[in-house]
Amino acid sequence: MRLSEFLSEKTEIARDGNFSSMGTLFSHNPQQIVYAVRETDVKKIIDNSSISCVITTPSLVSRFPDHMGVALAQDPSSSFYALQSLLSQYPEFVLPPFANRISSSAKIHSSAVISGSGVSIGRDVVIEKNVVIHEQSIIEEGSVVRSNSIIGSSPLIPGSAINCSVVQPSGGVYLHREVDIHANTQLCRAIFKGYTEIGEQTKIDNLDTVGQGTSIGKRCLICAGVTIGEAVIIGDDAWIGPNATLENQIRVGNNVYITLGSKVLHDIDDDKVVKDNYSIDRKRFKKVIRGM
Amino acid sequence: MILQKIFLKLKSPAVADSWFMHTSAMQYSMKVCLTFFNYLVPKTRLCQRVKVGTLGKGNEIHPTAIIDYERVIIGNFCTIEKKVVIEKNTIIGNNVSIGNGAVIGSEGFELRKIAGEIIPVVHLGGVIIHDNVHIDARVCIDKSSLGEYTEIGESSVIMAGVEVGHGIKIGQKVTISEGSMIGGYAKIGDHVKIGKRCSIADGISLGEGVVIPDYSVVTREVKGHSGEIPKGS
Repeated sequence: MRLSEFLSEKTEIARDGNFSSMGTLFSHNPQQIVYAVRETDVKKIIDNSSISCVITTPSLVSRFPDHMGVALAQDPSSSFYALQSLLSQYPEFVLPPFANRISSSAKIHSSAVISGSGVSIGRDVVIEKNVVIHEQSIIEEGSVVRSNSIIGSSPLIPGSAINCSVVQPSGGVYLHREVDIHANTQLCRAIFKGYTEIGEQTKIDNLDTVGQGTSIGKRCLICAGVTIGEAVIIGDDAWIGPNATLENQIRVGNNVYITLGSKVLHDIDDDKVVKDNYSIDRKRFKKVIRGM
Repeated sequence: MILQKIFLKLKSPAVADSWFMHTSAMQYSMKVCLTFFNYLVPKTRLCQRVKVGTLGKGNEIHPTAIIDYERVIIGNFCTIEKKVVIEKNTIIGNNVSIGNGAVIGSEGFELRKIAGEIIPVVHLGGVIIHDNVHIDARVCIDKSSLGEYTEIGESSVIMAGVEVGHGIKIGQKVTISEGSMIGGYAKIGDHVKIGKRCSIADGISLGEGVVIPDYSVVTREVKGHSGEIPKGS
């Protein structure tokens, strides 16, 4: 598909290009289109070989290589989501629908509300009181979803340029084996064709919010009140403390320890401790603490 | 209880970080013990504190509230609003109000990483809410492990979206503002005021009359009558 065929009046084409899917800075869909707002996004886009088109601000245009299609907009993210609401009418940009597959050994409370189609629930899954499960949600064996949680709610798009109700999410939520979702937690559906993924044995505590398109690795522990932005990649064995906040489109490495109340605004490498706004090496942190 | 003493000993850093606990044989035996405990103990009546549920007079309970009436004791003149979930082993005093969507007595967040796997510790305790407590919407109060109670003292106010972790003891006339998170096994004294979106680490104690400003991170013990602690961490 050509970039020039789909963009609205608020965007301007700097270089035309082809794309066949939508994605984020870290995803690897074939020939994907992404948006870039920050300076730090440019290097990530050049490193990701599957990105073919970018929607960006006028100040960043000259930084992208010649083979990429580039479109200009004052508010790149809102014109990107406007493009998504156009493309969600095409079947190749939406996950295929399927009938409900609910295992007979799953324990589902009578007050839980489950969508009429597109829900897969595996063996020994426990779904407690007042849980709402939207379509395109896949829950694998041994997972637990506790009271008043919402799986697969439609994400709200930041920015006032477009009407929130227009954007139809075309992705879903994928909970792997033995995931534990505690009370009053909300997991958003992915907006693009793909899943918001929670890895094996990851446990998510009460009152958390997980944004659209986020992917959390295996054996992570996420404490109460954590807000995870959209399209965040979190590695394996991470620990995220109470009331921490994670910015949109960042990558958090394996074995990372984010202390309570921190705000994470940039990428974090493996084996780091994050305290407030700063990150230091985990082994060095342990040495300092022992020396005190 | 003996079980609790054993668990506390195993959790202490002197034991948990020692090389002996990290040997593969020890890790494997710990894993077997914990899975055995998780499977067997909830089926016995050893730690079931509330054996017969009772319901007092003059209560206003909305029909969409889900309450395990067989294992919950509720006093008189309580107000329980829409979509509230009250799990078993909960004791509620007189004149308590609970807001929309609150979850009382759900499973706590206590997990052990043994032999490369995460194994949850099944919680067997309950929650006690004393008289004249006001609990606002979307508050989560977890039950305590090993037959103990999470306690909320008389005339306390807990505002919307607060998480009260497992095994916490809250004193009398305490105010906890919106969005605060309190870690497990913390002790909060009488007349404490906690501001909005505070994070309080697990296992610490706040003395009598402590005032904590908004957006604070508290990781150490604060003694009584010491005034305000600085903003930030």
